[in-house]
Amino acid sequence: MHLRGRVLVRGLRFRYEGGEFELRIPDLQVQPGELVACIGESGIGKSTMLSLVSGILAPHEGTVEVGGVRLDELGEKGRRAFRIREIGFVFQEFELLDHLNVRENILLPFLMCSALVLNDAVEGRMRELAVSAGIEKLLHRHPSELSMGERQRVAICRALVTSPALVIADEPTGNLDPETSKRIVELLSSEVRAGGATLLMVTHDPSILSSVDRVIDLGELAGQGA
Amino acid sequence: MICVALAFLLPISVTGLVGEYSESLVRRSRSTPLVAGAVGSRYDLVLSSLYFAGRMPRELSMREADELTETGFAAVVPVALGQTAREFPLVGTTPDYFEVRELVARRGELPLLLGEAVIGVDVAKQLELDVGDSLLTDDGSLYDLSLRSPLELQVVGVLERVDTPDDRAVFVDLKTSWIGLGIGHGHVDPGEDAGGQTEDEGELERQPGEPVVLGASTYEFTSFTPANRARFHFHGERQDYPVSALLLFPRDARSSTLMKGRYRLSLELQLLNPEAVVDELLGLVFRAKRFFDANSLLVSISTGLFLLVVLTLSLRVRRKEIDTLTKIGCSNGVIAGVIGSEFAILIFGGLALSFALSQFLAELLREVLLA
Repeated sequence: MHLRGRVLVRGLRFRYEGGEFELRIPDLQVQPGELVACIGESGIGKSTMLSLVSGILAPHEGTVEVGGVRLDELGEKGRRAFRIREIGFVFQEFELLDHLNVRENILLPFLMCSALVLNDAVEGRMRELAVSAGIEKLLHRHPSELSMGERQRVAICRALVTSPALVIADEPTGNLDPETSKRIVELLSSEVRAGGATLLMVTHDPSILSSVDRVIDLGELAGQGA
Repeated sequence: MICVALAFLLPISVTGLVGEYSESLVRRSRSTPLVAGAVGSRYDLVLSSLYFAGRMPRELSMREADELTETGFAAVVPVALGQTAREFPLVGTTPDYFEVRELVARRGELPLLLGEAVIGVDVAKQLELDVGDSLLTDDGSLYDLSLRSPLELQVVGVLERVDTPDDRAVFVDLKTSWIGLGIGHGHVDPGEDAGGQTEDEGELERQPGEPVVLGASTYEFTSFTPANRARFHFHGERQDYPVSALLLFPRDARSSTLMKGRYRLSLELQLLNPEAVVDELLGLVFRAKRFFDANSLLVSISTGLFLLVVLTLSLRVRRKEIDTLTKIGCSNGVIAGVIGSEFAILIFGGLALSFALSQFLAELLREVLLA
């Protein structure tokens, strides 16, 4: 059975230390290659859910499985190792490193992880992604020299350069104008599809929901287990 | 990085320099069993006679040198100091000096005749001089016409490097140094053809002990040639000619003790053991250095605290970057390695810069100290 990029969450419960809010996700399934947007009110735990699915946080109860690997059974070190190989991230604030240029930012996972080998093939993929994103002429610039839209394009290239099984996008258009948002989501969805990856995206922007295969409301999802 | 470099610059420079100089001072003092000089500052006498540095002590005369020689207790090597040649100390002495200091010629020869100079290796290097070249002594004053003109010395030998003050000295015969002081001179006799030069109008009136002063039209030799060397002569008694110090090399321990006993109560002459004086001097230097070291320690602690603050602030400023690296899956070791290596580059770069600058500073201090 093809498991690459499949997300399975069952009976998940998580509460921040000292916090009162508890996130509950009784059952969530995202099929391989599926593009899913997650919506919901502010503070309902959408970003927390992404952190749990990607292994940044570990659940107190329940299971989180990505591509057949039980993240809840892995330690911190194991989850990080899994993350850098199998998951790409796109953040609302882009989170590019200002002292690195665009090329280095895109190749950051390879520069920071000895398990990932930076070779000509990777350089070639980086260039392909840069061409697709229309930033091939900006590779030697620094993030501070780029527009918001260009920065998010760089972040998308960084998320996809490792050919991840799962792409996690947390409000990818939150800092962009509507026109740029539309182009960015089109780029993200087309590149994710082209790479055969799964996309799990949190958004508040209803205009971009048409670009995904399925929309889930976290409020409803959590309510199933309440 | 500059902060780290500056914090460590002075301690490194001073430690290096003090170590180098103390070793050099001790080595030199141990090679000279006794020094005799006029009663006065012990430090001035030892520093000037052994290192050709510091203030000139009161002078002795050749009478004391002869007296000490006649005792038969020690080999006596007089040194006449106080003049310079191209800003290097001019040391009037006898050929025995080369023997007792175990100096050998790298080029040329060591015997010193009137007007000849043997130069230390650093003098040769800095002034680009070699055997056969000439070297002028420094004029005492541009505006005092009664002082004699600079003497032109012939370089006959260049010494092998010995890493002592001898490397930076110009050695001449005692008589040459006395001529430099104006006690002796060579000139054309009245009425004699000076080969185009003006004729001597005779010596002006001179009080005993004062330099010879000649008339304005007198042609006085300022260089030495085989032809004019015999024309140089001295006025007054040789016993009254000055020397700065006498280096004494006793025949044995008994002779040394007897000599020290004989002059212990002298009001004119003091006999010093240079090693004891240098030890005393270094004691003062190291006491001062301890204070300096304590100060350096405080500066280092302050710098350390400052770096800690910088690191803390840096981590705070880079919190988001660290979070990003954590989210994408970088291990803590890699993140710590990146930040640690940046910090290490800062510290080691600072230390490297400090070492490089300390070499420069040490060289500068060396030049100042030798000036």
